[in-house]
Amino acid sequence: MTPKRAGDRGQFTASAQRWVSRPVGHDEAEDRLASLFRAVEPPRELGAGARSRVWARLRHAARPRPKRSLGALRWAVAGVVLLTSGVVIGAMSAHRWWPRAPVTHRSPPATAARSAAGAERRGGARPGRPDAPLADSPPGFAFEPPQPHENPVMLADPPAPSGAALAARPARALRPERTNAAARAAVTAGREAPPLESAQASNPSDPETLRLESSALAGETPLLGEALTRLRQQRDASGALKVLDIYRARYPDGTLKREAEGARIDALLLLGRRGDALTELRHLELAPQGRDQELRLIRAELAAANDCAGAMTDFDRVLAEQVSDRLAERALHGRAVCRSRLGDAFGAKHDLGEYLRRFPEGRFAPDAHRALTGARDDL
Amino acid sequence: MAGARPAPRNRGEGAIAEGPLDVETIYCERADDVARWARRLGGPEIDVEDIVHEVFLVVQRRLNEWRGDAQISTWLYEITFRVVQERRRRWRWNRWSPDAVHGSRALDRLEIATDQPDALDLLQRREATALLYRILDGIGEKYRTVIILFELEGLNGEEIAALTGTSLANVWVRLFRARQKVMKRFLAWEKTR
Repeated sequence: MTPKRAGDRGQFTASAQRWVSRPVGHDEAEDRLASLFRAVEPPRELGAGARSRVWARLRHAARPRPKRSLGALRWAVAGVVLLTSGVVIGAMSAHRWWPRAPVTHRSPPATAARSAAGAERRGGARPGRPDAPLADSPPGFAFEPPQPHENPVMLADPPAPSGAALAARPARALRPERTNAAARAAVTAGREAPPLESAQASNPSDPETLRLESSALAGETPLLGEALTRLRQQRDASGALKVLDIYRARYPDGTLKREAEGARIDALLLLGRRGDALTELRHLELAPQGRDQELRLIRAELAAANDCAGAMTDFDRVLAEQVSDRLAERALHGRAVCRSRLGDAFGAKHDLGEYLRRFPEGRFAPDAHRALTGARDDL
Repeated sequence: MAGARPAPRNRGEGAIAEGPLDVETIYCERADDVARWARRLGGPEIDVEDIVHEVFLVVQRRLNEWRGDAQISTWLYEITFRVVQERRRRWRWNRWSPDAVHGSRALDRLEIATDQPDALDLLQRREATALLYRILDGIGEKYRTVIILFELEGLNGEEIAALTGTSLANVWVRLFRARQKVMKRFLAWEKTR
């Protein structure tokens, strides 16, 4: 150990007190850092369900795939890619070069015979016929006029990710193979867009179209990223709203429109502008999955303040869908409150009973107990 | 706060149970430890279930190679550490994506619709966790590991040395430097606020 290291250790081991348990007042910066350490979420237990799931996966993994086969697969994929690209490049080079190739007529008779046979085998792609190779040019390289603000992937109605979830998985949104010209052509022609996979199979990537779509996304993504940064990191909801206004003005039908709308609702809620958030939510068509389920619940909770009858529809739908316990808990409680307000004492009691059965330790459990006790007293 | 954390069972001890050593026994005894290490080392973005599965796949594959010359906890920790490290290495690719701009995926769900006080508390805890792990991400793997095990996991120097297979002196040196680095990054972050 070097003297410096020894010095470090000597200086340190004597006072190696945990930041998380040190008394406040020694050093302000250390106090703040210690409070950050203390605020860290305690690790959640794996849980019985997760334990059994992992164990089941372990049992069913008959034999873990050896690394060598994975490596071989990688090499095979790399080889196929190289071979394919080589063939494509070769074909394109031939396409350019072949018509201008000089014809050699000075070869000796034997060589000339072989050349003639070779030319025959090439099936008419002979020098002096510049149109011949063009007929062999691969499909999918034809120019297709750009169509901005039109995203076949979105029109094909995929499951909409949440605003932040999109930013968390931007590569998927930007991945060029997810776009396809077949879906666009179908939409342009007024037909229903074919499923993504079939469209992809029927039409390989069109480089020009992909480039244009990527560039459109490249404009949208930083703007939405900026809004999300302000919203989530800086907690600057009004700043985020300004950026989202710019996004809305610039990309009224943008590919990331839905994610921007989700972020807008979060920002409005953070600012306490619940009425505006509700207005925005009422304009959204919500799918029965993912973040949309939570947005539907938020819409119901916001509407419940003034319009319990309107909120009931959303509460009912959330509870009819497969939702997480976290959402189900809120929805059950919300519906019970609304039913109570609407005079449906029986329904409210049923919901509260169901709530206590499913979430005996839930955060609304004390309220539910009180309400049920009150209902029994009334009877 | 630190006291509220559940103490790891048989922390740093080699023996796990009487009888023959098989995957099922190790899994029953140590799955929670592995999950906790994975959560601590990987941070809020980690998929703990996935990591535990991967760790025990390695255990399944290499159990007959394990000769018992090290403590089982050290061996498991080593596997967990490598699996988590590999996963984090893969995540570094994501730094090229706009995701890095707005930070952690753990912040995705803003539970601000409900006006319950615990929702805000939950959000603040998640933000604090994400922030701390962003700070820790920049101090180097060996320092990061030691400070996580000491401050968050609550292990003492000897236990960290046993778990990581380093000397006690090395643990203290790393912890000392890790604290300096964390403080430096924390102050830099405060300046940018």
